[in-house]
Amino acid sequence: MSDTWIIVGISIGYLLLSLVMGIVPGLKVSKSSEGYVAGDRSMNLLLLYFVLGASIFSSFAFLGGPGWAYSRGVAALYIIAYGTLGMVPLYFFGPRARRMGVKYGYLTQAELLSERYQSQFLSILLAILTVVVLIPYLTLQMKGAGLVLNTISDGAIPYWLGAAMAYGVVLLYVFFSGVMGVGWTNTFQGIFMLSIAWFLGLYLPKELHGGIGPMFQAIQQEGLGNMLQAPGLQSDGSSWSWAGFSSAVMISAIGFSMWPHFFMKTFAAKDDRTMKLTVVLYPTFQLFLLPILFIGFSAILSFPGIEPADTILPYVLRNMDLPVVLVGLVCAGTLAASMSSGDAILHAAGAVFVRDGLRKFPQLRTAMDQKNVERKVIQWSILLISILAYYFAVISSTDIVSLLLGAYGGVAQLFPLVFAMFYWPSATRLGALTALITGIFVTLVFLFWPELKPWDIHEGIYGLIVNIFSLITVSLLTQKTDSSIVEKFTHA
Amino acid sequence: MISKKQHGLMYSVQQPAKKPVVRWFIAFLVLIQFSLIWPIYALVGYIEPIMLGMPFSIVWVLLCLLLSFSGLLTYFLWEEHVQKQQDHDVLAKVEQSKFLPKDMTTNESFSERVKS
Repeated sequence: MSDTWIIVGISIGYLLLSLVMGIVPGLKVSKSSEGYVAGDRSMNLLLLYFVLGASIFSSFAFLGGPGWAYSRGVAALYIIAYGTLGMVPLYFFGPRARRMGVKYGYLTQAELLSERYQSQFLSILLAILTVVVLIPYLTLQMKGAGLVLNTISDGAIPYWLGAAMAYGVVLLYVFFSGVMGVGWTNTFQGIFMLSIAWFLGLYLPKELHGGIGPMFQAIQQEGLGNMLQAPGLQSDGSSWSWAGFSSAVMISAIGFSMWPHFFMKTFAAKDDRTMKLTVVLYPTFQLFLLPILFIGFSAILSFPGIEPADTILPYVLRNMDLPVVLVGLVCAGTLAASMSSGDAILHAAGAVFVRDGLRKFPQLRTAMDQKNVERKVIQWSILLISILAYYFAVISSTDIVSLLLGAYGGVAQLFPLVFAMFYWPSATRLGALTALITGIFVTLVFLFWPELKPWDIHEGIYGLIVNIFSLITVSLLTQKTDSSIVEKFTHA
Repeated sequence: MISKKQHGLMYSVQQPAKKPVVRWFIAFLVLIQFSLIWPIYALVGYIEPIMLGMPFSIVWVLLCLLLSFSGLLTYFLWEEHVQKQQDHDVLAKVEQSKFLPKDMTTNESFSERVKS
């Protein structure tokens, strides 16, 4: 058997194992929407830790992380810098959201927001925005998986088949098992990719430079010290400005916990303690990024000039004389990173589309109130969304990356609304709607026309300033929300 | 505790005693976040001194990560401790009320007795 097929065999073995890990847990939860979307609100610490940890570390972490370190030096630390406290808002919001979920049956972030601000329109708007943002996110994960399988098989597995194989497995376990399938596979995938990342992050510097210390010393001696000095470089090789770095960290930290597929896992937590402890332990998951960055640093001198930088990990694997089993395991680890995000995104997109979108139409709601009908509609929506994402990944040439770039600034615009939902009784429906719409509008304007920006800071920060200003002024000028509704949230 | 300010924020509604600690904790978190961006990170994000073989720009970020983890863990443990103490106090009051003469309890609800 050739080396290529050993590597492909290991990856296929990993895919089959993921399938089993994903299907079996789904057999143990109820057939209701609550079972499918929130795992009957029974997730323990281990599951929640890995669901939240692994779903945020996508193929971007495994491919983009080393790519950033390789081309931009310590600028890549921005990922750790925003993740250090990015999860902390959930320490405060999470238990409240969870308790409200138990009491009133909420399963998504938009259900909470639309109840607090008394707006069905807000719910439908969030459903549309969520699907619009999550489909490109999912598409990128599919592209990552297709690329890995295509590269390691030396083209024997075509790109379209690679993406279909990995995401066929994801679709099967998400379709049948819902969030519990996501939970158990993410635990398996998380442990797997953590092990691979640490091994590779220590092995490559040792192999190429004799250790981590000598590696950084060599980079400095070669006159590349500016790569090691904060805040690192921009993609064109010039120094990144402090304003650019700091605002990118801030907007990402604010938006981090607001991603719908992330926030809605609070409803799956078993109890408040589990939710809080997950947040407390989260920085330990962030440490996983360090060896990932070492992979990129180790290649700066040994493999210069590789374009695009995101392909540096597969390039190093192909061009070093590594044991074939190790290469297979790393490929499987990269697939794990892609799939552990893709499954959570796919599941959330389907659930949000149905719960926050379709259910808001009275006739559809009546039909979905019948036993287990809603669950089936979510399942078929998941199938539809994965077909759409596959179309964008393999067939369409639409530029979806720009959509996703806008999403990071856009998702942070939810933060003021979520904060005010629990802590500011004076926030009103009109205030919230104006804040969200103006915030997203300003973010998009500066994203597509960056030359209009007064200062070189992240467009999401401009959006956030307008957002908060609108929320406060419009709320103070408009009629207050019924106090009985407000108190449900402030006293949750 | 309901805020006296008409348009103020409401937090620690159920446990007002926690409010000062929550404030300090949030201040600590804000400080950590600012240590990872300008201006604090700009003061320390250099290559020297090299520690554990890594440039200080990397070590600093790791230190912040470690500090935030320790801070979160301490706050979590403190909250658990306060909760346990409160549960213990409530239980003690319930136990105490069992020994009160019957005529003293007739016009009081259970929660009022616990509160008293």
